[in-house]
Amino acid sequence: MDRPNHLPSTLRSKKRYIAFQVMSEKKILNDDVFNGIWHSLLNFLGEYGTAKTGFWLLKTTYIEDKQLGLIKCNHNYVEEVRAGLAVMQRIGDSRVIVKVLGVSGTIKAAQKKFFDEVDLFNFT
Amino acid sequence: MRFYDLEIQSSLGEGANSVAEIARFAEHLGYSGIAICNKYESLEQIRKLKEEISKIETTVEIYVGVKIKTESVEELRKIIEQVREEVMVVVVAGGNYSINRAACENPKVDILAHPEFGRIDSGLDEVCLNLAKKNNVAIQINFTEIAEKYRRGRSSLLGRMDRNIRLTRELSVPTIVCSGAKSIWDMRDPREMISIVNIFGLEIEKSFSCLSMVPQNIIEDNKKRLSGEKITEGVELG
Repeated sequence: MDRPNHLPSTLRSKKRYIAFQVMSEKKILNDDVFNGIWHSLLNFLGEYGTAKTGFWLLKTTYIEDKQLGLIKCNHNYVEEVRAGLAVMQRIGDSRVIVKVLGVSGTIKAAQKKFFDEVDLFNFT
Repeated sequence: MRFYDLEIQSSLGEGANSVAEIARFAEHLGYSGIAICNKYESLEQIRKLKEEISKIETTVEIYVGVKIKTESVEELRKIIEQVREEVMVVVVAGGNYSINRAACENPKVDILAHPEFGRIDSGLDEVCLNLAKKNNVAIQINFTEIAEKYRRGRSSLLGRMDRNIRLTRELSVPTIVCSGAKSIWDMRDPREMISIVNIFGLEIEKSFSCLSMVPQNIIEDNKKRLSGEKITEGVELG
């Protein structure tokens, strides 16, 4: 028993998944996108503010060729995260716009709704 | 809901992109209308802008505007008289207190842009805000100004904007959010612009109205005024 048990769902904080697309002058490497977003959030909201949003970048869901990704955050701080993404102007020497495609309650729904992914469980 | 960005600069002014490029990008971002407000140089420049706009085919409504940048109140009044009948949106670049006050006093002005620009205070007091309310002058939150600043500069700017938003909310003065974009890369999705105002403490409905209702009222009011339907405040042809 080296880990605490999972909290019951009533005690867990509610989360939201923000689907975003990075529009850029030229193609940007994954790591640069992740660092850029962290940097922008920390600058705009500060260390404490970012901590309160429960911000987390889901690197495994990032689609490199379309520059689409997901961010997890607390459901009360979606607006703060949106604002933090909006003030991003550059990643490296490329000008960027981080466009929020939408907000969802689960990863699966976010990918289905905003990434146009085929539902593998739908055989009809 | 219809969203409007009433201050974008094109390549005819200090901007980097043509009106066609701006319109295409605005359409992609989901705007219903935009106003091209280049820094005022001459009436000839406005005529050229009108010509350029007339050639563009797009679903986005494009309005001709002007941004007046001056340090003299007399010159400001003179330019406003010259351009008011020519353009849909008159924006006055604020910063100087006497200019801020002169803009709030003038019912021919639509938007007072960045009243806190280059100042250590917010640039507005109760007198200015009451005048702005009386004359229906919207106080602008300029997005590019926030995005371009960094750390200490941005922090103090946000503090000054926060004060202005609190005062406009308390005194019921119209507040508007504009991108102030000089390039398409300075433009943002309407919902992102709303989130910027929302984090200042405005309720979500009021934040939405900063990008939809307030600019829409400015446009509709000026359409009536330019067509001769509205003669002055409270006097309209039946």
